[in-house]
Amino acid sequence: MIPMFAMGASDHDDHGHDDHGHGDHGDGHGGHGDHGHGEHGGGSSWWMYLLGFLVLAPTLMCLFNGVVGSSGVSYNPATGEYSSPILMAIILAPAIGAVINGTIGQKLPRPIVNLVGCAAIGLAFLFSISAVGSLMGLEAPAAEGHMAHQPIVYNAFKWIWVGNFQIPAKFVLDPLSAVMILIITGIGTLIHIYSAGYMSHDPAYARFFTYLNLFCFAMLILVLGGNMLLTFVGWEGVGLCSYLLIGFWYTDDAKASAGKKAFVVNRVGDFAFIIGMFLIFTAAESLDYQAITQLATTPETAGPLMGIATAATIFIFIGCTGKSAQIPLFVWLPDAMAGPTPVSALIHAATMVTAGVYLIARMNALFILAPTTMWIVVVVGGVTALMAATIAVVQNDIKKVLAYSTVSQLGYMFMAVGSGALTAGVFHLMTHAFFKALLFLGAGAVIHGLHDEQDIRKMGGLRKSMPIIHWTFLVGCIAIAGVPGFAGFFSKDEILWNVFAQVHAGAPMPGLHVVMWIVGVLTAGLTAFYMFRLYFLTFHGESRVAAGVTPHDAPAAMAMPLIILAALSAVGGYLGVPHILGGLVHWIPGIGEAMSHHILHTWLEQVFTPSANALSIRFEHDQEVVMEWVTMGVSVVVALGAIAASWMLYARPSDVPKTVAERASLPYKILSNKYYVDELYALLFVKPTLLIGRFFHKVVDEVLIDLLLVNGAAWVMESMGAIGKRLQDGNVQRYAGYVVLGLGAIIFLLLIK
Amino acid sequence: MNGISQISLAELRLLAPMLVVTVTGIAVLMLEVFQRSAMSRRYQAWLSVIGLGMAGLDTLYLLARGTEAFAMSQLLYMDGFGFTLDLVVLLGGALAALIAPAYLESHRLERGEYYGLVLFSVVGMMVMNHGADLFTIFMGLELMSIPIYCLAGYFRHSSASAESSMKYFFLGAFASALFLYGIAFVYGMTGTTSLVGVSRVMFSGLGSVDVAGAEAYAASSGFVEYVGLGAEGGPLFALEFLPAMAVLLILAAMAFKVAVVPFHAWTPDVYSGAPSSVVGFMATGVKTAAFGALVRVFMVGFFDQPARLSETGWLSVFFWLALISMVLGNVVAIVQSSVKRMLAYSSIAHAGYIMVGVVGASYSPEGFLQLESVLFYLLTYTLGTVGAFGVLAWFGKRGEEATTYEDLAGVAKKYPGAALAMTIFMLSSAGIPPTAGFMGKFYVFKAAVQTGETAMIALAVVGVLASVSGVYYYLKVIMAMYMKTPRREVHGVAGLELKTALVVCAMGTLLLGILPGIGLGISRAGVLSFLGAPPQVRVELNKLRAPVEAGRAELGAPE
Amino acid sequence: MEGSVPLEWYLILSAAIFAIGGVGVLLRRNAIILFMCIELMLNAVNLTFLAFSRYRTGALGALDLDGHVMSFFVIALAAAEAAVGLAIILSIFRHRRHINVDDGNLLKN
Repeated sequence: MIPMFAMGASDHDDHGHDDHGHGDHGDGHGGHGDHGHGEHGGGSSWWMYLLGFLVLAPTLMCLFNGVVGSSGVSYNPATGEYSSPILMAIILAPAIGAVINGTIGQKLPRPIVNLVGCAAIGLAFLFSISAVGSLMGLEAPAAEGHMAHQPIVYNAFKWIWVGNFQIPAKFVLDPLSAVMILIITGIGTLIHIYSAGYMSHDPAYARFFTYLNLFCFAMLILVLGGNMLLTFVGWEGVGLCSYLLIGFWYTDDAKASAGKKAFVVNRVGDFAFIIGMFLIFTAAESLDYQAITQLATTPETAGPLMGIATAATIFIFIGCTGKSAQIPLFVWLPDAMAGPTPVSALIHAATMVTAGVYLIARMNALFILAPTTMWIVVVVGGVTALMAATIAVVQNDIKKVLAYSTVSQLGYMFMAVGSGALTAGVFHLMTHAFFKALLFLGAGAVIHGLHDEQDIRKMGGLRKSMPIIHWTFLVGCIAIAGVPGFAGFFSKDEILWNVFAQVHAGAPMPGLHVVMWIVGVLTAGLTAFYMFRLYFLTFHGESRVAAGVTPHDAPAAMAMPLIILAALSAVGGYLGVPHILGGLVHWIPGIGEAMSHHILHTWLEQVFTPSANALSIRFEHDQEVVMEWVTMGVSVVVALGAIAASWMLYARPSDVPKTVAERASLPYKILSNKYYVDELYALLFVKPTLLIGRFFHKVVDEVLIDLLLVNGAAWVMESMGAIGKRLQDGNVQRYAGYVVLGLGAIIFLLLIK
Repeated sequence: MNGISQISLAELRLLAPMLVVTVTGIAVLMLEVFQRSAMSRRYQAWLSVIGLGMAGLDTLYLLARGTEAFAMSQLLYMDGFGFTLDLVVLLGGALAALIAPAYLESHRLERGEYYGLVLFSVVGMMVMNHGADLFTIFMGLELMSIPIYCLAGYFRHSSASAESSMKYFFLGAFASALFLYGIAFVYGMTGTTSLVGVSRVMFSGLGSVDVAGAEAYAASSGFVEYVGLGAEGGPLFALEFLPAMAVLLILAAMAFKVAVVPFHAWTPDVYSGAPSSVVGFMATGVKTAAFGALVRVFMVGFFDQPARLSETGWLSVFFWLALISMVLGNVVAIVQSSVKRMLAYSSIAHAGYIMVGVVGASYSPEGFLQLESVLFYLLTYTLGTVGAFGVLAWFGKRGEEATTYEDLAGVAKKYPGAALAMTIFMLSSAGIPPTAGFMGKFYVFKAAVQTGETAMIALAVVGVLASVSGVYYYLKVIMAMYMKTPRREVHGVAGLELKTALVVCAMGTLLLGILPGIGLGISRAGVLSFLGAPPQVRVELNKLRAPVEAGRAELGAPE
Repeated sequence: MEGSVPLEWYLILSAAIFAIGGVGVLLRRNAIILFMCIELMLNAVNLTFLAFSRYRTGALGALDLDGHVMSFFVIALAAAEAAVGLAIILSIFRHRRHINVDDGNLLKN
């Protein structure tokens, strides 16, 4: 099977790949069926599973819908909730895939493994579309003439039921989790298909798909879980899968220890998460999101929550800094690039690392009660964004650049949610998922095409040999740089505007938002700069590829996801057109009206209404429009300027970068050593921990515990046991005697005394 | 036993599970008559499992329907409590039947009486579970015990097996005599052996008799005068002493069957001598039925405040029995070199833990519902213990059994499945999450803590500490299997039946550990439907039953 | 009922027999005798049952045959135990060539 499945082989040309360029990821099935005709007969069986998946999945889907009705949504008048087992189907589909590939995957032929892996997540995606479609239909009038979507709730079973600590396995699909599951399953599907190509040479492909499916399963639990504990289960689950996938090539010591580092650093955050959860439970006596939101937004009941809000949210935010790689716990993410590139794309760019942003958005009602935390979030996010962007400028590993870029973009998202612009945060989460997944997959394709070369100094001029990768990568760079019209522009601009303009009670100093806005703009400029540095060094200039390596373009299974993601990165931003630009899209027939009002904002409004009431824009309306134009103009100018600078420095042969590096050797050294954070942590935490550990090992453990307590207790136990043993001498009459003696003793003790 | 009434067909219907098991037992024995000796007898195991399974399904049906009735002239309570215990016992019996074939074949012991004895013993246990009269309970006890004496000595060629049978028999008969003597006293004082009747003529404290209550009952039941306090010629000899003696004699017999210290001494010898395939059943079925009967006798018959709670009440006796059982069982288990004996001592400790649940539940009428912890524990204990002995039955041949830690050394390499199953059972017995044993311990200790009494909380604390020390010897088994190198070749004999049984036990153990709600739900249903509960308990139960029944009505109602 | 033997006498007698049986179980070594001692205890119980039953019927004037019925059950039980018990003793004899319960025990500690 393996030779037949030579889709990664270098003899592929790129004809017919443009067939994949469907902009629509939802229903582009028809076009793929006959796609395979242009391929080499034996050279690629990838279309077989794709075909199978595309035929099988809709069939199953129709069956499912036929059996349970329109995604099975039913109304329960007793609770006033809509319920549908389809939520279970979404979650279980990848779990089943993981079980199949995890148990018998090694014995199955490769195409079947690929089919199972892709079909599992693909089905989840189709189910998600169906469920979200139902959710759109469940509109009910809410306050102030807005429409609210009734969440779809599914109570799977009673999970923990002890006294008043009652945790049901309850899954909730509301507009926020709808956005998340579409990202997870949609991009997940693309990355699964991509992986079939990327991992085609790896013997452990079944294990890879098992982990990948397992990850999707955990991630879906994380976002669909209706209470914090369920989210925590998903939170730990994705952490575990992340660890397994970073250390996927565990025979390499560095990669295995990168996995360990990620796991350990995340444990610090998880611990804080747990403490936050306990705090909330003590005040709210519930971990249910709906209940917590209800309590927090009702003035009469918010009292107890107010007391713990600041502490609890800070702890939860520390948890988020772990999972979402923010200061101080960001150090694991760059190392996590040791994993296979599809993993970096899915887990360490598009989905898992955004869990922190999701959690804050989910718990916005509680965070809004704690202005201090909100400001901490903004500052941490901003500083992280700037710091990571500066590091990215001097990195030479293609994946490391993208990793620091991810840290930086996550910082943006935290700036957004911290300043109360939750929609903007989620919006950037989405567009970032598009373009960063695209960039990672593109980088992966480059690495694949160059036979595992990751150093951009050994690339260059690849645009001729890798046209598809080149063009899609360029789209990704434009999108992340914030060039007007592309996805990143809309979301980044919305964040910057909100940071600049939105006021939240309790700002520690009046000028802080302006400072943070400047940080944001600087970061935007740096982002455009380092991304285009990366782009130019990789695809332009003279080829610096090592001799003997023939670069080849992405094979079809890898090209298709790139093209779809490029399309999404180009147009994804139109889900959130700012109202000052509304006029530009208003003319589009059919959807123009909705688009001019920021589709995503309308969609998420009900989830964020409670906290939106606590915020206000600090400008008069007229002033507001002007200021918004001004801030937008500034960021566009900065981005374009940065691109131009990077073109001048890196697109043509130039001595300037070298000169700068030599002239400013100290800053350069600091940057290329990533501010010595790892070294600092080693000095501050690792070494003292080891010292304390050694002390405890030598003194406390070996002497006090081993010698005195354990051996002492064991000695006492054993001598007691020996006495008990002695009593059991094998004589049945003595045993009868014990019965009589026991009775006598009871009588004596109870009656005679 | 007053008054003769006819047995209605409806009553007979409720006895269907017992009858099915009885008929299956007779059928197995009859088949054995026509059996050619060379032929395999595996079908008999499956026949027994089918019989027990049918009985189990019917029991489940009766339980789900909320059956509550008296049967056989008020000698049996056909209620949820009994049915729940039946389920545990039937499960234990079915697992014992499944474990047997490969074991019996490899030890050349294959004869059909084995299954017949198991089935009859199960019937005895079921009678005990439903007993409403001291005498019914006694008959059930004997029906349960006599086949088990035989099963203990089933290994005919083994001297140890004969010895174990002999010891069990003599001590069992001795305990039976004590039990009967206690019943005789109760009968003499109250004129009845029915538990409800006894409770009406209640003892006020172990030392005296509630004269007024007794006389009222005597009058209402047609007796001219209350019998106890000498109608003529002054008080009877030592009558002050009689009620206490009666309670204590019955308590001793019950404590003997559940094997709590100091009535435990038979356990290690009997368990280590008896064939491995049957020890699991002996350890779990007998304990389940005996705890069922114990709860029934003391909760229905002797629940009255002074008898239970006074300084000399039985509750304090149980308290101390639980305490020393937990400590002694665990401590002596540590120094054992034989896994079978270790499991025997640990079963004493388990009896102690269950006793903690009983003590917690009987502290106050409000806490009665905590009996669910006892039922749940018995279920988890059955899965873990039958499974563990099933794994021991896996190894060994022709009279050579794997019993010591050394015999199990390195088993994991050759038999990874058996080792994994054993690991699950050991973790469950040690009470480590996410296994059923952890939830079981959690609930029984919770039953003690919820009383809010310092002494009870101390008891739970001792229990937790004792179970921590127990982890040592359970982990020793796992360590032997995975980390030691085998001294000699291990022979494993496992058929489909044994593997099925182990899979059921292991899956059940994990399932109940992760979703304890399933087992707890059934246990709660069982406790809520407890017939014969004293009035003050019934008030509490009705409070809890109301929402359940309302829910039931709601589910049944059309939309 | 004038002049009849009072209930206490029966109870004292049966208690004495029970005690003799019990002490026998604890002290005699021969398994058969041990077994007979247990029978003695059961018969003491029978005597108690009958005495109470008779007393209730006679002295209290209530026809109460429960005690009689129970003693029949006990007799039947004793027979069943005898069957099993003697078989077990026989099996012990086959292995040990004697039936002393305190001698040659394999199972201990």
